[in-house]
Amino acid sequence: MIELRILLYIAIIFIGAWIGAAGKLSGKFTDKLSKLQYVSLLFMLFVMGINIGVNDDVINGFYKLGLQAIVLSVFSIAFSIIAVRLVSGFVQRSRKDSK
Amino acid sequence: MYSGAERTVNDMNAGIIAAVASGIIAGLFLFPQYLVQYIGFIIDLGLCALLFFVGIDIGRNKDIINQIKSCGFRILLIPVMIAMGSILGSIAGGFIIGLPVNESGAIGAGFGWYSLSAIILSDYSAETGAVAFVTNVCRELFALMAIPFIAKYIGKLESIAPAGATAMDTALPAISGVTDSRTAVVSFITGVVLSLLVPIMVPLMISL
Repeated sequence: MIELRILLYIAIIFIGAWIGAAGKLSGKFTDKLSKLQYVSLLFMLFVMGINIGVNDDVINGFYKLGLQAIVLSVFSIAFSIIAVRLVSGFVQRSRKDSK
Repeated sequence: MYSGAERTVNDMNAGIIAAVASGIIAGLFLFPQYLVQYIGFIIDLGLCALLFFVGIDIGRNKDIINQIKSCGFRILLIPVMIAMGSILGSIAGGFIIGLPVNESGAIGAGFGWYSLSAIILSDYSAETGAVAFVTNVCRELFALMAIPFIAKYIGKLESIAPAGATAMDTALPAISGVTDSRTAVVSFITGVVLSLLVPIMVPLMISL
């Protein structure tokens, strides 16, 4: 089920990328598109907000949620810096070679 | 993270915060209970639309493959390592605060793209979606604050790491401002690769 869902997501992105790469979209149309994109994003976030608002567990645990968010984001950032550090010498070398 | 529009970053962030806040208020006080069963369907439908728009944005950057070639394929290691570090770091943090591995891993796999990761996860549970949203907003915020210091004291490539998927848009000016044009190109490529990984890794991690 989850594999199907991921395949669907990738397929949708690729169809979008294919249409975007075809380059037949006029400037006016892409302007409209980015507005549509922004409005639909806001609508989705509004719906997500409703989903949070109707859920008593989330509302009651707002303080806990903030703490969780800070811990998770700090750990994510720290570990990804360390991970890049492990390969940065190797990647930098290839960048100099290609000059 | 978001892409496409020419609005200023502050305008867009204000709109995003306002949309979520008004949604929460509507959910608390106005939203009729009998409509709750349709929320999942609306989220699914909207998600497909958002991914389609993301695809169009990526397709319009046709020269990305040439950019990767000119930098050497080794630079793809940067987004791969950031993805691994973000997920492992989030799992480690989740272990401390007592979150299940699948939830903390999925939240970390948002790579700072708070809108998409939160919307995908709010299908799973409203609470996880909420944590994903706030965590990834925090990540973008902390990234923007940390980038100058990391570039100065640790390294240029390392300064891309905190930005995650936002390395291609909101964090790109911050990174290119304190590094050089080559790092800015790597940053953009990293952001694109990580953005593509979000809709794959978030559902994959939550299904563990």
